[in-house]
Amino acid sequence: MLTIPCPWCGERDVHEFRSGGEAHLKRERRADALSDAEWADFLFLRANPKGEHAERWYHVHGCRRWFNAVRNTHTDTILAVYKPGEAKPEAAQ
Amino acid sequence: MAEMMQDTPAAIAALPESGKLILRADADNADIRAAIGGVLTAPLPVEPLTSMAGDKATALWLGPDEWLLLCAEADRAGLQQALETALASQHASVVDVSDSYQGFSVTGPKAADLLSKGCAIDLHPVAFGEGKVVRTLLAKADITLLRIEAGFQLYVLRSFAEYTRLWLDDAGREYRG
Ligand SMILES: [Zn+2]
Repeated sequence: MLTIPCPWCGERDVHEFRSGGEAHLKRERRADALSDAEWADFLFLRANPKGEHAERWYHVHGCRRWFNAVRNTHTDTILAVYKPGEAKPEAAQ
Repeated sequence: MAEMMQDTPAAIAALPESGKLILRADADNADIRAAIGGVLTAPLPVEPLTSMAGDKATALWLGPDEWLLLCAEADRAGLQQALETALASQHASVVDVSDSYQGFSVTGPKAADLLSKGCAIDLHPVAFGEGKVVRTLLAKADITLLRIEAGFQLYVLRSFAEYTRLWLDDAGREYRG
């Protein structure tokens, strides 16, 4: 059983969570000023590393809060979890 | 009745209609905490997975800014009114969800064994003592699970009530005594 530590609830079965994809994406305030290529980058292009990846996760069947996690996409190890608004932990950078 | 309960390894019962309110508020705000605590006659449980029983209501932590308040059916309107009055100048909400949820109790020495057939949470008393609360999955259904002295209470969306009851009855066949 894979488990994920929710920053509030602690370690829980992965089935209680939903993945929200890459974390820390920033939407341009003036999206209309972007070229089509830049806008397509924002909408569709995501990092796909083999290794450490900062991701958004949603504890949908628990406290129903979004948080961030640094996961090794190769080993599925969760290296860190942190609340929205908090910086990515140093150790995981 | 009490003797019968002790003879049953795990007894399942639908809970009678009761008051259930969802409270949303900023727990970091001391004024808000004080206003709510005054109405509940108990401090608002801000520690994750905990609950706090007051004179007329028990508050269950559901998230960092969300609580489920359990009270008697007769008290639900009064409790909502009192909270809304106490929080009138604050950014907070109190919603009556009494009819949205059906409660069940699972009591007796085998209550944890029964629930563990469909729940990944460690329900051993050392890890899950009286008053602890989690929102989790039981046999794919979302539940709010609370440890009480005699066992557990769980709350499911009403549309899951029949499914949950059938699952509990099936899982509890060997514990009927
Ligand atoms: Zn959680």
